[in-house]
Amino acid sequence: MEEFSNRINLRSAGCAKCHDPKYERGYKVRLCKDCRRELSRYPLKREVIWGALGVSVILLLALFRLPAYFRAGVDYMKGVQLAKEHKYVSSEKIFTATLQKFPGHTSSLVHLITAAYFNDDLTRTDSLFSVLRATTTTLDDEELMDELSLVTDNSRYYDIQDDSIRNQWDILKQDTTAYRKVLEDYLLKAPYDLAAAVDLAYLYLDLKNYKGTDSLCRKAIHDAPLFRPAYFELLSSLKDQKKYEEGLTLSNELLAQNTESLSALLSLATFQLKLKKDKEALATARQAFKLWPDTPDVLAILSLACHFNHQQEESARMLAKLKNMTSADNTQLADLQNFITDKTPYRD
Amino acid sequence: MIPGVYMALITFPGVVVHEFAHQLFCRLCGVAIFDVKYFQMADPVGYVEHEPAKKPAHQLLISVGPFIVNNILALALAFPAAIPVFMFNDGSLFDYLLLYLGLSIAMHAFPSTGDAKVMWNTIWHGEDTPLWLKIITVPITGLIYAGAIGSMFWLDLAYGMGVAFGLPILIVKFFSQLM
Repeated sequence: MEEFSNRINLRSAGCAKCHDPKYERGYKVRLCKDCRRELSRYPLKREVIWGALGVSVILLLALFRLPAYFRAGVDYMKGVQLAKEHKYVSSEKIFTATLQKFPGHTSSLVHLITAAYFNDDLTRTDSLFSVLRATTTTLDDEELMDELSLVTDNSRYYDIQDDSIRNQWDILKQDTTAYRKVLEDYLLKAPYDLAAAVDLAYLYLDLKNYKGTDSLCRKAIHDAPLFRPAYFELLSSLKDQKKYEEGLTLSNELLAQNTESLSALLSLATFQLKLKKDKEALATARQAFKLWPDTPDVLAILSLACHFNHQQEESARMLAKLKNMTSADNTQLADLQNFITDKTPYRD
Repeated sequence: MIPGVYMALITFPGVVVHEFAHQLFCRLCGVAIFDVKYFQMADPVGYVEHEPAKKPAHQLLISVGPFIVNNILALALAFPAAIPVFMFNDGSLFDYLLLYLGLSIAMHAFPSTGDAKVMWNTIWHGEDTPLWLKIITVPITGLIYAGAIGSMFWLDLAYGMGVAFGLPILIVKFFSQLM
């Protein structure tokens, strides 16, 4: 006779447990309704109940932490995606927040260094490099190493390599003629020094030596396409020379490196307005305003773009906002008012 | 090579949850249980002895119960730990405990070949089994046997790691694109 520990007799004529002749039909094992119900509720062992309680507590604690971690994870992945799309202003905000939550996260730190570099914030780039050096001895991830070396390779162009010039820089910059001579002589010996080239281009621009500025900047851009100051000098030169089409192309090149670059967006909007591409200029100015709603230069260009698009109300609102800003430049404000009131022509 | 029984000992929470899942679905389907062993150092490492289910669909649920319960529980436990550990290299001891539990439980999500045999006999050879149920039983049984063969090559461990370590990161990536 087959029997289980809980007194189940499978050969019983009635219910296999209580032998009641009224067993439920249609089942292979004869059991009455009550016995089947009781057996289906087979008791859990005490150890299993304690284990389940323990796991439940752990699960509750884990689930309590989940929303914060989930948010952080999603934000970080978004930041990575934004960096891939060269939206460095947005990605910089995300990586800053991630590092506040996870200060030892090397990937966020490297991504933040890249974002700061492309946002032209060299002070922050340097300070983040110091943090990286202090916290990380080696980087194992090849992709991160490549990303970091891209910034380090280009950051070295920002300082003149000759110590004697660098040490005298404060004195030299007060005498531009002497400084120009020093730089010209130095660049004959060290044509690879792009910081010196851009410094000289700046001096040439002051002297309206556009040819000199352009050739120095173009060489710098050719030698190091991600060395951004050369673009800014060249853009200023092109604007002064009224080479707006070239300026527009160069602004777009700069914007391709960082689609949220403030300087690039301002330049692009300026050239678009100069070329009477008013609708595009308004879109560009609005894009800049979305990212920097409290920056005087952005308010000024948006006010101007609205004016040329016959949106006088918004133009006036931006102008009023600009007037209320303590950091607003009075000359810029006066110029803007003159452009808007057509006292001074903005376009040629 | 570690014998299966020692591997089961290391990952015993998964075995207990696996048997508990069978028991839970027996209760939900009103199927009588005669004996339960949550864990033992023998083959099989755990079992639930129950009467044959009256409805073939109930047998399917009882057989695949661990797949549902173990996967959900493993993911819920491992998810909050996988993000700090694998995304931010910032895991605490508690996180590693969660990952251990998640991995152990996910490793035992696959029904055993014994479960597959009972399911096959009840459903495929059942007289009043609807055709659709017979059809879906074929790939399920096939998967269970494939999993059993794969476990000889640590497929259960790889599957557990996928659910506990990989899936949370994939879910985060998916939501980062949606949100």
